[in-house]
Amino acid sequence: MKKILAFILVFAMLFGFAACGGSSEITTETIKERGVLRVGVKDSLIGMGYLNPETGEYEGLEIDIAREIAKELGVDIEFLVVTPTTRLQMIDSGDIDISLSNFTITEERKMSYHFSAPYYTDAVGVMVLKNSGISSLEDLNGKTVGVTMSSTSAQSLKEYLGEGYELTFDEFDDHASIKLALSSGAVQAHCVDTVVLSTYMDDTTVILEDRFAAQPFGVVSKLSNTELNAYVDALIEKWLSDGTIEAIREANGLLPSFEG
Amino acid sequence: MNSGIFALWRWEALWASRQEFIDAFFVTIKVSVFALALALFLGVVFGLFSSGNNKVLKGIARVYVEFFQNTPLVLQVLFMYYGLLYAGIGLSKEQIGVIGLGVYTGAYISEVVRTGITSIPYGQTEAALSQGFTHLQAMRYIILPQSVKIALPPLANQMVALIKNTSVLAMIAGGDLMYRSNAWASNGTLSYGPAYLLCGILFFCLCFPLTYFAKRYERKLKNQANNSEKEACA
Repeated sequence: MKKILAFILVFAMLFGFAACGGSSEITTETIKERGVLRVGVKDSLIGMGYLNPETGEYEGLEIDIAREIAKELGVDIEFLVVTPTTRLQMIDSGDIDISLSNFTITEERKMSYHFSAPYYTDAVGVMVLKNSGISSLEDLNGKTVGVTMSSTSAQSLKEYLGEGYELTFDEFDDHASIKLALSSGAVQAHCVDTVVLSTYMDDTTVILEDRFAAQPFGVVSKLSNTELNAYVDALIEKWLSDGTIEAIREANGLLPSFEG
Repeated sequence: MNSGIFALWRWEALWASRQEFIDAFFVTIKVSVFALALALFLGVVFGLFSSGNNKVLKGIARVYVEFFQNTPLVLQVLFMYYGLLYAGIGLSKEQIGVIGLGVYTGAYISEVVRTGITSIPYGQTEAALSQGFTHLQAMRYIILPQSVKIALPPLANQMVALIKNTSVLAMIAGGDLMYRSNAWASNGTLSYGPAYLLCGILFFCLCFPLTYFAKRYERKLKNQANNSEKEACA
């Protein structure tokens, strides 16, 4: 009996923590008091979020937008590198205030997190080895495709190809692993947003011509931080309409937003 | 809608995907069972090698144990996955799981077996031999029954470690429980809370009975030994 009670207690504690786990609301005021905006970014996507090993500086579209937001708030900025599987927890725990990390907006995801208007829209593409004999999406039938966890590209590819295609999807934690799997032959295709593919492109690989499924990227934050969310949303909307974001895009050498 | 990480609607989403988790759970069980069988086999063979008198066999066992104990399991599995593919040897992910975990855990189990055997004073073997036992008989009737009692607790630990280590397969998209939890948690509504909690509970359900029964069996053996000692004294 004692043992059973102990178990129940442990579980009750677990859920207790979960219930009161969320830290208090982050507002523009708390950020100003702290004096620093904490932003979750990528460090390996050239043009989007990239830690340049030569200068030691972050650069890219997402970095520039984050810097603009910090400038508006009048605070310093701290970049924290996130992966698709860590950014959710870091937002929930309050370790980062917002994240600009190639995060595609979907209706399902909006149930769990807040998304701003899309600051950039990419499309999904497929990269294969040059000597693989794969020259179009149709050739992918029966092949294994590498995608990252937390990516919508698998779903998009399935939808784009429609019925009659047999594809296997292997999910990896990062794109470097997929590249390795592609080179070794563990997967035959690397399917993800084009900005990512261009980062991992080399002279053994080729990106197939078809691009599909618009991937709108938004600033992600915690649903309950309503005041901060409204503030960021307003900024993004403003910069979209006054051309600020368009100028940042050009400066970073990215293709225009995808319109499919 | 409540966006808490353990909100009720997240559990409903998890329930809707239960089949994915059931399948993954069976992959984990399957890999664990076969890997365990391989590990026990390798462990006993190399354990006997390293506790025996043959220098060559001893040397082989040392190299095996030191190599697999002193390199990370993750590296071994990644090597098998990517490295062997480059070499043109294609193994399925479940095969990699069974071989990788089996060989790795086998190294630890062989140490358990070795210490189990060498912890019995050599005098007992000598006594048995002097009474006309063959070496094999001495092992079978005198040494091993005592070694089992010593080896059992660490052996159970190794088995539990093996089951938990199946989670390295997640790194190579292995379809195991950890992989499925990760993948599910980072797709759709991003409901990682219930996914990881369920993953933990399922691993617990696999491992806890093992440690529990091992403990009970160990106690039983110890009691038996105590009783027979008492009888001997009486």
